[in-house]
Amino acid sequence: MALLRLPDGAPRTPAIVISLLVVALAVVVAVAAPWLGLPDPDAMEAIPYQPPNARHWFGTDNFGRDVLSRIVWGTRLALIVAVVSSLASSILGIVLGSISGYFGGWVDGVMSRTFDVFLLIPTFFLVLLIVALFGQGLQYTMIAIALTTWPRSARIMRSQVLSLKSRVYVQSSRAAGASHPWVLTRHVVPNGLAPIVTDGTILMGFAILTEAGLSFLGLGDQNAVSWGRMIFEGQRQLRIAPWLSIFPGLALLLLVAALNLLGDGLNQAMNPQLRRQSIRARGKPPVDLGPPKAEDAGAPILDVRGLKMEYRLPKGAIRAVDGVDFTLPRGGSLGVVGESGCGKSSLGAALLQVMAPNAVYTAGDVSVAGRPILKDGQVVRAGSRDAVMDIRWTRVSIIFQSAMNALNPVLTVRQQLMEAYRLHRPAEDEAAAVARIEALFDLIGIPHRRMTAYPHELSGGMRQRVMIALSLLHEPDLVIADEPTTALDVLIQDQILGEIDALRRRLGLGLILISHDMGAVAETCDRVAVMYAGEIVEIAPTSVIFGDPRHPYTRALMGALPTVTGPKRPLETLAGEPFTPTGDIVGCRFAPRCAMATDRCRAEAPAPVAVAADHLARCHYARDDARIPA
Amino acid sequence: MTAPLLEAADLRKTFDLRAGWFSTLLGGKADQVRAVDGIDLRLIPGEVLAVVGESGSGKTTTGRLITLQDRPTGGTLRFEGRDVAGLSGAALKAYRRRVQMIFQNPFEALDPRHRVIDAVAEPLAIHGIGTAAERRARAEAALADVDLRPIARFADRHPADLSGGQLQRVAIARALILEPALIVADEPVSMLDVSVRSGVMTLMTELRRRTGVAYLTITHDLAVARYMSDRTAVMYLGAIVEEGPTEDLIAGAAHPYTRLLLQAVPEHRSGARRARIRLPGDAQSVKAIPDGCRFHPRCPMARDVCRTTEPPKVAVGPGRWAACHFAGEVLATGVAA
Ligand SMILES: Nc1ncnc2c1ncn2[C@@H]1O[C@H](COP(=O)(O)OP(=O)(O)OP(=O)(O)O)[C@@H](O)[C@H]1O
Ligand code: SF4
Ligand code: SF4
Ligand SMILES: [Mg+2]
Repeated sequence: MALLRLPDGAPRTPAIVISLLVVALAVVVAVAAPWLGLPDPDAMEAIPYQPPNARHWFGTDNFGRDVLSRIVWGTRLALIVAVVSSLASSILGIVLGSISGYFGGWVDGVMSRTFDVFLLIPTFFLVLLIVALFGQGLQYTMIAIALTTWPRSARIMRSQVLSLKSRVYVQSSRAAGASHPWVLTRHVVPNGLAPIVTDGTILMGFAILTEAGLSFLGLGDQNAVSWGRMIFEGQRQLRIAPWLSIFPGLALLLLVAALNLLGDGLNQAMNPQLRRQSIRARGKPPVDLGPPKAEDAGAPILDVRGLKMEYRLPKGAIRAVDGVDFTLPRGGSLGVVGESGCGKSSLGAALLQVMAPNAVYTAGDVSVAGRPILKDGQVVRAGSRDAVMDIRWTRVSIIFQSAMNALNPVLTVRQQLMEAYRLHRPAEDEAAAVARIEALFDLIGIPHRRMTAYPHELSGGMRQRVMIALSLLHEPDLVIADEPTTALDVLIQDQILGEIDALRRRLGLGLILISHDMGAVAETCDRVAVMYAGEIVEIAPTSVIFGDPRHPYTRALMGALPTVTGPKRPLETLAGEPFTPTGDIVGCRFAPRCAMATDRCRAEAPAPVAVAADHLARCHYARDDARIPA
Repeated sequence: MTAPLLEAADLRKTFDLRAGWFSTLLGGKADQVRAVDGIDLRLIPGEVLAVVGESGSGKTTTGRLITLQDRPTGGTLRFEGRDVAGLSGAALKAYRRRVQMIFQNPFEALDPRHRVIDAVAEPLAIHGIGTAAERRARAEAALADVDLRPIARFADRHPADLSGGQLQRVAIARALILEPALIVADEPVSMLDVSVRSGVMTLMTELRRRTGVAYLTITHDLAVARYMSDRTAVMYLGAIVEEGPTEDLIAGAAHPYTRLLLQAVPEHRSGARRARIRLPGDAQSVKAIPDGCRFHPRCPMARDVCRTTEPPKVAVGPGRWAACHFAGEVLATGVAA
């Protein structure tokens, strides 16, 4: 059952467990039918029309046959119909859908039309035709069901294959010389089967219902014991012997419902989007510090002390931000660098309380312009709402990573800016809003006539500029920009960074630039914080970080940078893997990759060492000149 | 002069944008995109050529043409002296054994259902080389070659359990296992973190020294080209606009576009704020390649002649040329607006 290898996080909801039990019971009953010691389902031996009693639990029918026995044997028929016809249907669908999707072009054109035509044929009509041509029989019923349902699987498979065939690993196999059948059978089809399998269970339910319906109409196999026929025969005696139709009806309902539920459950379990299991975490309760203090003009725009934020997962917690301290003066700029997963984005989000639902603060204070918004890991409330609401977007705004895809596709750029403007300044009139927006467009260098464009009509660079405009809409004092240019072209990236820098100087804006691009940070920021495994391992003025880094990690990063200026020197490499901060951490987080690590490093976590007044490095040997190679 | 391993002359690829059936009915013609617009490339065995350009410049299509994932619509493509543009069947399979590819996104380049060792051994299986046990042994050796040690720790894991740098090493092992003569590497390090990037770059350089494989490295980053290549070709809107030995080209570019690209590479020194030249508009689209010099709408030096006459390849030094009317001037004094 490799196909059904459920991911660890598969939901074990009561509905799924119950439906699994029902289906399993049906299978057991069907297989064990001959050995259950029940009377022959066709034997007309008992007294007819007995209501349920100790001998005949479900009563007997008009011919004196045992209803329970007939239901049990009917399960057999139902499952055979379900399995055979949905298997036939799925196989047909997988083969034809794969071919159609993989080869595309006219093949696909012809084949998908065929799918549509087959989907239009009503099952009953086809069955009538087949029965008329070949006579009644279970095999014809199953063929008819398969013939009318396969296009469903074919369509699913086709769309799966359409997206899978352009996967890089498929191309990679082709480029290595693999034939079409090779990649189809090894890479494309196996990766596309999951939804077919889940749909298969729903198909089974459908097949059972169809067979029952056909039997009900007298079109099924006349010799088989079928729930449908039982219901049909029973409903004539509904008044005198209701048990004749009620019990098979219940059995039918139960099995079909269980199969459908199971299909839904499997679908959820296999859908990668629904798969990341996270816990909606509850942090510490908010604190109320009473009415907000008057702003302290001398206070730094941002002050962060001991900030800790973690993501709660079923397997444990990831301490993505694990004790961060820094202060940003008004108009100052700080670059945050570090490798993927070190917690840069998490830090940005934690500052403004815009984290994923499974994130919680465990400690720390954050204040903006002297007003606390987080205290001891507790969200600060101001009156009826969180204190952060008063400053988010108006005083401090954030540009998210890949924000350019965050614009609403159905509204023009202008409409979106207007909406955002109105949100915080509902009172102001139309003209003022328009004037502000036009001024912003001038600022970021987009012609006014492009304002009425929809996001998709703009290039990536333009969309990113719109996002910058959005972040500047309310003239904030601080912008947090998370990889604002990563997805863009080199030249465009350079221009946007230039623009941010110029705006900053012109407007006296504070900036936190989160980026893995050291060059971008070097050119735009006064200070740089290097993050590793949730901690700031070094923070200093930019010239110091690049000129005299003291933390071995920073030094390794610097040595690994290829440049286009100066003499070409060999690049240093950093062995090993990034460290994920979970569980109890002993010693220095960088020790496994650190060339200078000693026993002390492995035993004792380093505290930040002040190398100079404005230079901290979290390394035992940061001030030990003898150890730091020139 | 060494016989070239790969030689492309006037190589072209035009894609038809599908016109709606309605406009076809009305006699409309399908739009065409000239993704690769007549390029010449030459690569000798063991050489590394970097193709540098922004996205949309046609560098990825060039790589796909050379690996025959797409077929050229014009020009010739010769490999070891033979024309390969039309290969099919067994001959194509044999070609693919000699020319391998490394893809940009290591997170997508491996089948999530296959174990690492199977992914590395797959090319051998495709070409029916060795028994299963022999293939496994060779794949293990290949994993050792790319420094994925201890092998036992990696061989039986699935791609989801590996980091980007490790995945790219697996992809390199997979590309090398057939002992190809040429590897086309499309942005091999752009998705990797700085901290692992230099490791992969160093590894690729080292493997070339050991095996004599040639690389065609496609990148948007001149700094990467500098550390990985002998020669660099700069592409803009489907054409190569400048070519030469990498160090020479970086020391003094002769095409305004190369100069701008070089200036866009951020300095890693603080406060080193470069004079940014603001280009009008976004990158042009290959849908409508401008007349005259294809760079003229964005070129800070464009003059009248640039708008009407396509510049020839101007030789500016040994093995160096640039397609600019004023190449000599640019080489001597840089870009003056
Ligand atoms: N919602 C979440 N639930 C669980 N873990 C998460 C969640 N979001 C992020 N993480 C984990 O937290 C850590 C820090 O992630 P974060 O996105 O902050 O890193 P980053 O430095 O921004 O990386 P990148 O450079 O790739 O953007 C990583 O280990 C990441 O996998
Ligand atoms: S404390 Fe030790 S292991 Fe950590 S960075 Fe410093 S020298 Fe390396
Ligand atoms: S030919 Fe003219 S437009 Fe083209 S790059 Fe040279 S100077 Fe610029
Ligand atoms: Mg991030």
